[in-house]
Amino acid sequence: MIDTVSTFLSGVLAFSLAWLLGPLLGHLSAKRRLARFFVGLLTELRMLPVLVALVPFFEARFGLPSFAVIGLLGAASRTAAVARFVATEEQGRPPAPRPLRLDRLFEADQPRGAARTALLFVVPEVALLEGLRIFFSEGQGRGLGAALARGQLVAIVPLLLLGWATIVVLERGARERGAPPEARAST
Amino acid sequence: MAEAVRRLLGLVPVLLVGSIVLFFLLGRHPDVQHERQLPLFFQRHPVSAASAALEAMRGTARGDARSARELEELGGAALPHILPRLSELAVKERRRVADALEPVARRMQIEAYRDATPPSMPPVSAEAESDRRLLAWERYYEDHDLDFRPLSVERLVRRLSSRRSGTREGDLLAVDTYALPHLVRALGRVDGPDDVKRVQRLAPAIASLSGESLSEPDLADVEGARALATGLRRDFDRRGARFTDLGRLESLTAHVTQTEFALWWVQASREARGVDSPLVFSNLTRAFTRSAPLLAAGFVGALILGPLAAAFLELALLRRLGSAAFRRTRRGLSLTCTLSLPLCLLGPSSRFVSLALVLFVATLASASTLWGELSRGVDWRSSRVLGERPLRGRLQAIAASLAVTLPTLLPLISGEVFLWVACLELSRGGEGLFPDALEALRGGELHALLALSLLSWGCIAIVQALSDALLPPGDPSWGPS
Repeated sequence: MIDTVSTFLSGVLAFSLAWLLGPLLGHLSAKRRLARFFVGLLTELRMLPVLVALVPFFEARFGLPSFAVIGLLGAASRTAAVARFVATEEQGRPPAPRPLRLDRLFEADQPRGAARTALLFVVPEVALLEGLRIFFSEGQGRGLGAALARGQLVAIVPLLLLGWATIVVLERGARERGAPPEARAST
Repeated sequence: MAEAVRRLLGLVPVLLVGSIVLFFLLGRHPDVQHERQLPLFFQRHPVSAASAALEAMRGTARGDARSARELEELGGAALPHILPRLSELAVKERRRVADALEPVARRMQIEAYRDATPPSMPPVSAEAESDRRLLAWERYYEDHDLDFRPLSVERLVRRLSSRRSGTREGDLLAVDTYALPHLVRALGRVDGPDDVKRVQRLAPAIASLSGESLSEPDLADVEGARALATGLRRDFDRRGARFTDLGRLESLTAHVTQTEFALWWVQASREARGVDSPLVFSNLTRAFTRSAPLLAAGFVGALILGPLAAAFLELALLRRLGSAAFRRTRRGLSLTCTLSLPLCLLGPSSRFVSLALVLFVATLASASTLWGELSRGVDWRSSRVLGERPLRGRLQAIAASLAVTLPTLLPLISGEVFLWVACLELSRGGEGLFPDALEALRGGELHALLALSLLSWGCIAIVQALSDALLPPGDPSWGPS
């Protein structure tokens, strides 16, 4: 039995957190040293695949379900990616006319460009983390990635559907801004 | 650049704190916890020769067989602590202790003291035999009290390490395991033939006192002698506290020094200084060498082929921004990424296929991200203006944008490459950085896990600081003007 729900929930968690926190952290890290340090730390944590070995520990210690731990790991990784691209974009801009305020941070803060593309990788990354988890915990694990790691190729189909859904979500809004008038009229 | 230097300097405390956090987390893994002998960060009840000896003596006096075995293992190290206190015990309890010390007496060859026992006490019963043993120990300690002093043992060990002789080894018998800490300390650094000879003289004594066996070929050359000394030292690091007398300050610091974390520091620093054989480091190097082709393929794809593919896509579709073809290509690229990245979990049977796969996914992921960034700064108007420029002008604009995006991408894609390679290696089985990490985890080798994690962490932090230094201060977006 392939557990699509687990991957879906992990993906939603990772996507939402990265979508909300990524740009915010990116803005902050362009101006605040502490935020830059935090983004750096998140980026560095991505280099530690061995942390996936600790998923069972986090599940047991904090009573978190597996999908939440995988989702949080994915969210940390995607947030770092989004924040880094947003911060690079932000660095070149002139300073804000008004002091930094929380409500302004969320203003028009949909990730764009590479930051948006980074969010496209939420689903494959969650799958990879799920797969990695079963290697580190004696075959224990759920989700599409775990099914793939066990050799169940059919898991590719729901994975593709989830990937497609991510693309559709990300393309909404972005399409209108970038398209020429004739393309907008045709869609 | 000053910022990069500042961040590189700041890396030291970050890694220090990071090592504590990682140590805590990895130490909590069930496999690691199972293999752990010491507490992680704080030893509530530090062990010393005195505490171990007194505990074993009290247990033996009560008739506890396990304590008697412990007393036998402690041997000479326990004698200065228990022999002066035997009078505190009842006669029956004293006899039990004397019986438990009998194997030690045989090892230390103190029969001469027993023979000197007056004939008025013939061994007619078990109690009488125990009393003879007790008396022998009392006599022995009266004679050798001064031998159980750090200074005299230090001198004895120094003489033994400089030249082997039967007399010196006989002297060593008189103090038994009391000399063990001094012997291990005297092993020292092994760099040349003289050091090899020293290890050759000391190692058999250490092995016999700690109940281990030595194989002769180990002592043949510098490397072998160093490896042997390392093994003996590492073994003593874990088990040696109960043979060591602690001063007041040492007893206080033992709360920290007798922990897994302190042990890791001590062993890692000895390895880094070249005192110990580089066991963890050589294993890491070997594993890294095996993973290097896959990692290299990932970085070639992400940093060379990916940017080239992104530039090609941008050039080809610049004038068709927002068109159906543009959208189809972008969706196709994204879907191919979604499909191909998880393929790393399928464990391709051949190494060539693994290399091709990691090259492919790295190129795709990098191209997709970079193309997304290249398209970001261009709306449909600017795309048309740019499209009218000559090829050289368009290439310059693309290169200018990539010069900003690539340093931003570098630390991120490094993490991705590590993840892909981890999935590929673990799904294929075999050898490499990640299968070795898995083995280390299963074997509860906390030190190897921590070394791998900190090395990866340090590398990415350096890459991040340097790539940030490469970012130009100006507006990274590129436009028609």
